[in-house]
Amino acid sequence: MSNTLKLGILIIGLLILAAVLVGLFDGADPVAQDQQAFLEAPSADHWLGTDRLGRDILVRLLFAGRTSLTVSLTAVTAMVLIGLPLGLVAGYFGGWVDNVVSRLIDIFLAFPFILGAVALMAVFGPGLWNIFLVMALLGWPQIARLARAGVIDEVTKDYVAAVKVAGATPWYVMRRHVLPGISGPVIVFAVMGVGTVILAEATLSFLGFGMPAPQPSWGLMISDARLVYATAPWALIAPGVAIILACLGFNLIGEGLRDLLDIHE
Amino acid sequence: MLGYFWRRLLWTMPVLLGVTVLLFLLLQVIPGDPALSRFGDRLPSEQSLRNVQEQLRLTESVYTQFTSYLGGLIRGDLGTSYVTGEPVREIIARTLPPSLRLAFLAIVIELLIAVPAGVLAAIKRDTWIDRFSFVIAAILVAMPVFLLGLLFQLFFAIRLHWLPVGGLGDGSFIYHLMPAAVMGLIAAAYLSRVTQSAMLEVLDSDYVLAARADGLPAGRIVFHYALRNAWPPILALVGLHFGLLIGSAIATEYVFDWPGLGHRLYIAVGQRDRPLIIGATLTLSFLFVLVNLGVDLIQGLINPKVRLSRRSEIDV
Repeated sequence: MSNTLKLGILIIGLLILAAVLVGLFDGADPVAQDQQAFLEAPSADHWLGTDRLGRDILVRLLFAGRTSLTVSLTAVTAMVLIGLPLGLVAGYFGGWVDNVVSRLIDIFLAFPFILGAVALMAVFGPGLWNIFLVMALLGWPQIARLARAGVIDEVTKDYVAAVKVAGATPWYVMRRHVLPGISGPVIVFAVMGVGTVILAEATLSFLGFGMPAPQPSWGLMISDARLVYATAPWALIAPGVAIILACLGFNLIGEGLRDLLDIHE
Repeated sequence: MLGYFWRRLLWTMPVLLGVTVLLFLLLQVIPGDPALSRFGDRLPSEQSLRNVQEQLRLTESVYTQFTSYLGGLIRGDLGTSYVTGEPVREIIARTLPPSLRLAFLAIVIELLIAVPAGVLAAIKRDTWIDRFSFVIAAILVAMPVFLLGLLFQLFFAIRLHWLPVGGLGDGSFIYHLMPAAVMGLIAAAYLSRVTQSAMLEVLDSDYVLAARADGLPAGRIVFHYALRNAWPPILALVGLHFGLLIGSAIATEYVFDWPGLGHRLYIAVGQRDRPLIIGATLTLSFLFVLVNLGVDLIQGLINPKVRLSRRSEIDV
């Protein structure tokens, strides 16, 4: 296991642990206001300081981590669940099925990701569930394209042709020969995709189209800190570092896995 | 080559039509009556609301609305904004140029940083220069563009007073610099990694080894042999990055209060101004498809292999 992979797992492991543990503390409330402490610099009472409404930044940070991890992990799972079967079927059967799926992929990929997400959030409105929906809706074509290319690569190999001639059903060929061949690239892509969704959620929330206030979200915290960043930069830095660490962690795991599984782009 | 060009161009048409249909149908379900946005906070009488609804053609069926929108689109008419009543085409014509200037400058900055950094990291493989550029690139890739924008604003404008905080100002270069640098830097982080791996691949090839054995100077090998052959992947990524730039333009223009199309789209989404959302998204997607088409064509021109291998993809 490479150092890249270890570091990535360490970062994400700690992040998940902290996000889970913060719920066990009775006093930890992401929307509780300390009327004695508005925009206070980091201190013993508030380790990362407080924001302009007197809310503890560390507590908000960790609860926001829950939001971010939940939405990114579930959205990427949904992308794989939609994209993988569609890509598999399109690549394996070809013909009109492939035509329909491929054209759909082309259309969806014509939207730059964030642009599409912003336009769609206008329809769905802010909220956790809607961010998930939009991310899944826009992300599956990438997975499908990857899976499709992988399948075409596999089924044109001689041994697969031989298995088919021997009378193997499509289901058998996919499960035994195609899926193992393409699972590596799909896993790597999905792990990297988690980082992308974390960034996208942060961007949407920062713009005001993602998580609705006063819910804890890293993007929302930065948008809040924007009003006071000249006098209270810690309110900006803390959620910023959190986003970078989370995204970096998943990218490192992805890159580590790519080396480990020996996948070439 | 010309056949290839036409096939590619022809193929973008159904994609763009699909994009239009998808956008139009999805944005139909925006909640709330768009006619109400004309009246601001006032509650209109039933008759005047009805008049506006008819004027905006909201009383017609979705199908009729779509076909008349498509008819308008062919004539270059993108409808009128629900909120301001201004033709969408004019809004786009006004706000797109500042966005394109920013995007162009960002690509220049991206190339100026990423190509030398990638080349250097490849030559100095496994030294501290390589590791340093790896760490910086990894952090930048994980950084949201608006965060870098805010940090730059805080540092270069508010603390050091070197650059204006935001806005277009008198339109001079200095106002463009910070937002373009922010977008360019993030994009450069991806590109420097690609440049490095493309360079490494070429530097390890037999003909470079032969050139080395021949005693050619190192500088000539790097620039004349290696970099020249590393161009195709670099170029391909710059095309893809145009999409990244469009995405980051929304947040960047918002942070820097830049009067571009990204910022205008942000406002339109907040106001649920459907014709403007569709018009702006369509324009930007169209540009994205067009730039990628251009990159494909240039690559086909440089390398016949691309032209031939893509053919099977198109003739389905």
